[in-house]
Amino acid sequence: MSVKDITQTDTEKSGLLPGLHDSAFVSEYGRIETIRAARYNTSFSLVLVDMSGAAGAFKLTASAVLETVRSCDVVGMTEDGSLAMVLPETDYFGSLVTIRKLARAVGLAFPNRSMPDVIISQATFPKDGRLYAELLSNAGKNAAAKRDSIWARLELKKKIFWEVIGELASGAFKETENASFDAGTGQVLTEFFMDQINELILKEIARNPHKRGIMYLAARKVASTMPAAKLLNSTAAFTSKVFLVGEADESAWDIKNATPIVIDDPRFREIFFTFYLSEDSAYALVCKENWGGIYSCFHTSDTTLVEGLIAKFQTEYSLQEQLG
Amino acid sequence: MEKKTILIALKEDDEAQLFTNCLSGLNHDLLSVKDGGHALELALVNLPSIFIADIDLPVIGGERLFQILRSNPQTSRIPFLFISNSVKDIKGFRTGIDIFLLRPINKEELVARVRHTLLSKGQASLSKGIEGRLAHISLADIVQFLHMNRKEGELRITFGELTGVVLIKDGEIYNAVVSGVEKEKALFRLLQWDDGRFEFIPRLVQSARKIRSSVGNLLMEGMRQTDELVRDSGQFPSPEMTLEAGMELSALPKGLQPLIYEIMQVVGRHPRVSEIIDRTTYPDYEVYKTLSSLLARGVLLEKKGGGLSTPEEFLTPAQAINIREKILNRFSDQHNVGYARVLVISTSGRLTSFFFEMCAKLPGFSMNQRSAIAQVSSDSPLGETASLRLHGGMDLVFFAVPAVRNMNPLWRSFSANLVGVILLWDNSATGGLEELASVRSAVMGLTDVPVVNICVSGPMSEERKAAARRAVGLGPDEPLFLLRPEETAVLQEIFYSLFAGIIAESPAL
Repeated sequence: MSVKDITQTDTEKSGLLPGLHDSAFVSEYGRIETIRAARYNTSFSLVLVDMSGAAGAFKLTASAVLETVRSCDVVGMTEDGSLAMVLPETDYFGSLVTIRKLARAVGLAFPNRSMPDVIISQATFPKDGRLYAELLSNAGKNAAAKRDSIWARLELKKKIFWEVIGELASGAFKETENASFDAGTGQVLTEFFMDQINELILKEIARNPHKRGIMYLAARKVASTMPAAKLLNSTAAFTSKVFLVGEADESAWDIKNATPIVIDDPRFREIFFTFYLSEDSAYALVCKENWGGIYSCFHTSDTTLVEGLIAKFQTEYSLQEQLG
Repeated sequence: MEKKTILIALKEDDEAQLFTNCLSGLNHDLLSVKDGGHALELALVNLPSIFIADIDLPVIGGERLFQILRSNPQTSRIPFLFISNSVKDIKGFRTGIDIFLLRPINKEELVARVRHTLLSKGQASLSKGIEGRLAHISLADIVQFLHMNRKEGELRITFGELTGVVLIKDGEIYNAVVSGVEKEKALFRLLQWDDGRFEFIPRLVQSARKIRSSVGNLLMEGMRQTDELVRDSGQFPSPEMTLEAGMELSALPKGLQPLIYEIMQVVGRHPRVSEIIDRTTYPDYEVYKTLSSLLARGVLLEKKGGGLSTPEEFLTPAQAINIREKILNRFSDQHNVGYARVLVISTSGRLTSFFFEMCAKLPGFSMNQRSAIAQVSSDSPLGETASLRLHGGMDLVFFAVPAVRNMNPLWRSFSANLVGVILLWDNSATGGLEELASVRSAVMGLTDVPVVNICVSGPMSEERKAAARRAVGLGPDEPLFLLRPEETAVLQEIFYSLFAGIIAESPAL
């Protein structure tokens, strides 16, 4: 047997795309990676590209994926025809960035025709499991959650940021998982509800100071007098990134542990929002001020929606694309 | 040239006179004695720059004198010039420092050797010029410099009343000593000093090499440990904390890190953390890290009355360890589980506040008071409101959520590390019970954690109790606790029920 024969994978031998391995190979590689990650107390991620909606576009999609991944990543087929990628030394946020890149690359691969309906999901060792099969199963569950997400169902991906915000704040949702409610004078939830939510998130960040995360807090005016600023100023340093968005006065620059993003946009005077994404939590709260101190609010724990809102917001205001 | 002292110890008067005449031209102070006893006395008092000694001195022989003075730190660096009739192997003779001359003595050679020695010694003392303050140059930089130049000698560092020594030979670190500890442990402690004086004294290093790692590795590792010790110091047990073994040393499995066995041996006699740190041979950071780990696993326990408060009054150490282990077993990423969460879902903020006020009587329970909107947070608690220090740094965090259906995204988002749910209502919450039942159903549908049901109420008839159970959707086997102010016994039962649910084997979330 020649060296070439030994180094060729089964898929190469069978004439499929070079670099695309068969399911046995990627499963074994994933299994070994779990052992390695456990041994060295590190993390790695599994990204799953569900190709069931990409009938007839498999080869083009797979090529786009293969061209995008790093040389250290291992891509293979799963038994149900999806693409599984083992990303060594990649944490949760790293895998989210990879998903963004893959989605963009797949979109660019189909310039003149509609992009195939591929769902890209992920699972990270050890958070989502310590066995390869567990990771694969959880990545599959995440794909199903993405498909059921309000983000996909309302096709929010095709809308610009303020359209999405307007739709969410309109109070059109009555589902409990993605709920609408009123807060303010005479209501069960006071007008301080938003401040309480922001404090709640900041306490969450402070409890896990070494964990990565990102928080955008949009307020009418960013100043050191806002309740969140007081908590930020009295909190020890943490890894998560906190951005305070809106009109700002001089004191905004004195707030510790946060970066002000000064945006002079009248829409921030009537709509306030908080987006928070971490390895453990995803939460978004959007509130629109009505008359009489009543706020129409929407909040969600839908990870896909929160991530999508953050991405849309970053694009809308040409902010650095970052996640945690 | 600085005036120095030459001590001449020769038993023959003529020879002593000859030496005195020859060396007087060097313009140094000359002291002459005839026997070893006087020589020793003068050496200790005057600390001569060179000691010329006859091997066959009366009272104390030259070789013995040499060994006595070598063993005294004050006189150990005095160079010896031995005069003898025959070749003799002198134990501890330092080539390059000590001189051996055979009779008959060549006067020119004698003068030249003495002058050279005094000059070298002068240079050596000049090399004390490599001295300064650590505030200006770090110890790591100094060690690197000495390593690059393959220096040999003693690096002495003084900080307040503490003095540390690093022995360097051929540029490599042979040993370090400070405050009664040595090797890497001492070196890493010295690397933490950012102020104080240092002085490098070139001399022969003859002690055995006790540090084997290369200078590069030592400095990298030392700096890493220093950084991490500072960074993680808040998570480590305080030096004042007293500890005790949670299990017998013999019960520990074989094949663990040697440091663990060493700590377990030390902790019996020296329970204070600072003592354990000082009496173990491993670097401080490693000991702190292992102590934290052993505390977290219940192998070590905090002694009652010192440091962190533990809920020992209603939890035995064994129970606390068991709860902690069961909590850890629920999560795949056990290394990052420093806390577990309990949702407190209540029909009103007032009830939640009441419940936490009662819990405040439990040992180890504390309220999270940090809020810029304290009054609102007190009236309607939301999010992390209180915590119970369980064991070994593990907190049970209580996360308050209103029992309203459209608040479901809130607890869904923040249910990481969830181990239990407490449902709270009272008799006035008739309208809210439907919502509570809905939320309860949603929680139980999503997670498999124990749920404790509490109705804040006085004694109830069986009928009313049954009606309350039906309204919330409790099964026949699910206990319902009736909680009244000052009923601390019921409160303990509530927590026992929660802990029993956590301890019961159940699949991970």
